[in-house]
Amino acid sequence: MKLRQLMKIAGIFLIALTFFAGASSMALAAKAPYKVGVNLALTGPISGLMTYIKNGLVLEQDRINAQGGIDGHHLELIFEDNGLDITKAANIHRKFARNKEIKAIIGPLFSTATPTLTPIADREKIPEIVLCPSSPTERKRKPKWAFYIAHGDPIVAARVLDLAEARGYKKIFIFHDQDPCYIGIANNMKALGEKKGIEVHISKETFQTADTDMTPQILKIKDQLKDYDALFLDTNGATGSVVMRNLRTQGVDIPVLAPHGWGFGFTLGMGKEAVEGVELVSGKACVTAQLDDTDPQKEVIADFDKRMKARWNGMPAEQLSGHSYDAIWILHDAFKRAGDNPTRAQLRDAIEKTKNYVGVTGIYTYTPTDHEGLTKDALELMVIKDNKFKRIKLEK
Amino acid sequence: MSGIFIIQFVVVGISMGAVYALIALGFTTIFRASNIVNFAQGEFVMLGGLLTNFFLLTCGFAYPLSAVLAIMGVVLVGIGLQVLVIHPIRQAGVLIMIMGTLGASMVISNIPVPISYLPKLGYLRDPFVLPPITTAIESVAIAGARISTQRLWAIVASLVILGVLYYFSNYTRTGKAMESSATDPLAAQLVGIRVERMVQYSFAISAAVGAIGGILITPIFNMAFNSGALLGLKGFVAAVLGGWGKISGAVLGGFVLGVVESLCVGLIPEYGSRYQQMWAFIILIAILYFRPKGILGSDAVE
Repeated sequence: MKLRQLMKIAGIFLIALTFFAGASSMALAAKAPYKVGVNLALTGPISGLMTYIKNGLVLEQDRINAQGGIDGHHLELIFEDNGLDITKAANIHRKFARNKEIKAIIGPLFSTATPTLTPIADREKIPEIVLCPSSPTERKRKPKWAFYIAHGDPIVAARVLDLAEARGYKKIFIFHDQDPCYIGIANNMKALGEKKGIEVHISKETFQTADTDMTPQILKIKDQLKDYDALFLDTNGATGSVVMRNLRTQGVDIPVLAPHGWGFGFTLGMGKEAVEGVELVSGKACVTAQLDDTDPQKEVIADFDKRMKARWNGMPAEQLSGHSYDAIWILHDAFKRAGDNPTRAQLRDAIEKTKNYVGVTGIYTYTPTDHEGLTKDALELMVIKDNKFKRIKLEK
Repeated sequence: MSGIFIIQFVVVGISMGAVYALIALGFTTIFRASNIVNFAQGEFVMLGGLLTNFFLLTCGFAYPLSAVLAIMGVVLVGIGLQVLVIHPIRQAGVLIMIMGTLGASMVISNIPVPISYLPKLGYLRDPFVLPPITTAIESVAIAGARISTQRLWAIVASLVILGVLYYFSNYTRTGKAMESSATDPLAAQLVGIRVERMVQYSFAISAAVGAIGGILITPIFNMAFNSGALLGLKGFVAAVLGGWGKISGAVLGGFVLGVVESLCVGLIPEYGSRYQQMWAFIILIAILYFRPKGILGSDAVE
């Protein structure tokens, strides 16, 4: 009996082995895929926003693979969910780094975690494309392996000041939330403003991104605002719409400027009349159809927009999916220049040599000292009019 | 800081407090009938807003109809919660049932995102607002601070619902039966009260109150699929603050919480506004330490 059972098991084992052998030989026949780890908060408070990012990534991955991959290597994205938890995100980073087959990480959109995560990329020597903007602390550290996709705070501040200058604002009042990205923008505006002769005051009253009512703070700063030409509402669009509603109810009608965090459809949906008239800087994807035909980005964005809408039930291209597009295509571009089956170090060097790459977020040129790659021209000026984004063209 | 400022903060605080009162009433209703703390209460509020938005946008119904359908929908969810989660584990004790509601709240708040992948439902994953109930008058000035009419409606609603629940609980047979189901379930059953049915009623009523609260709140703040947790916690603090288990306590606690929060933000320079959400929880700790019975006292807490 015992021998019979053993034979049965051995038989099944041998048959299974032949199947696996056949399968693996098929895999060896194609070129090894280029694996890229993706560290995102797929569940949790910002999972809604992550959908835009994931859809952009999947769309472009499939497009690249349909075209035969990168020099015959398929692009394989490995998604892991960090649930907006720093510890989990760090563990995922380490896991990706320890997997020798993974060539790069597309990093999180998680500004409080990047100070922890980008050092991991540096230590483990794996190139990382970070989806959220850098911060002053990050730049001071001079990361070698992390590259940023989003508009950094110095560019945003510079562009907002361009707008302020054009409008003749001499005194600006900044009301900001506690997100490090927006605090960075505020500080940059103050420093740059001094050089341009614009007085920038950063309010001591602040608020948190998740707050639901800013009326007490507004009651306090209402009188102060009378001395200023404009209010810079330094936060994201969702929270910003709450503040605008509170402001308008209290009868405050000072001109309002806003950063790129407002450049989303839901800002218009939530703010409605309250955000009418707000002037902002934002990625070009908000006003694709209104861009100049001479703008090299227009065709890229319009094409991406069409494909997004076709694949994802009408979801348009916007800033976040634009970041995904740029992350994948910058990697694609770097892979092509780095040679066949590059090492992580070769890939990193190739990314660092990216020059004038026309993307959705902007035109990227990385250098050893600049891992953010964008200038302030990547940001377009626009105003919210009739509950839509209308491009502002400044007369030179 | 001039006196007029303080009055303004109090006024704003009362309007915020109405919101907390509505949520607290939901907690209290279920607790009075079953001794259960329903941590999914915040999700009822969120669903009230979310379902109204769904009926408005996807089904194209008028605002009042969408609101009524949404309330009915949330009542179904509330009853479903009792039947599917609470009832099967009723032998395990109140603590386990409370954990069940916590699990339910996580499930409910995570459902909208996968559903949003269906065609035309993408808006379910984004933050949203609803139109205000009345648009004729935008806001009313009280002591120099302007209060939007929507917030006044929230105050009116919280007082009306307080009155209705108070009458129901103390002067109707069903209401008194619901209360006795928690006080002494065995005796209640001996007298012919169907305890299980009373608990279901309490979930249905709490769901309705929560949904009404959600529909009133959403035009004031933004609502998103994950707003339920924080709203629920604030409502819980309000219910404890006012007197755990008392209907009047829930409403009083809501208003007091709103006013204290507003005063903290307004009077404490810089840090008051930076940590706006924190004050509610500092108040909770303080209350539990110094006077766990709450302002109006509580029969449920020794």
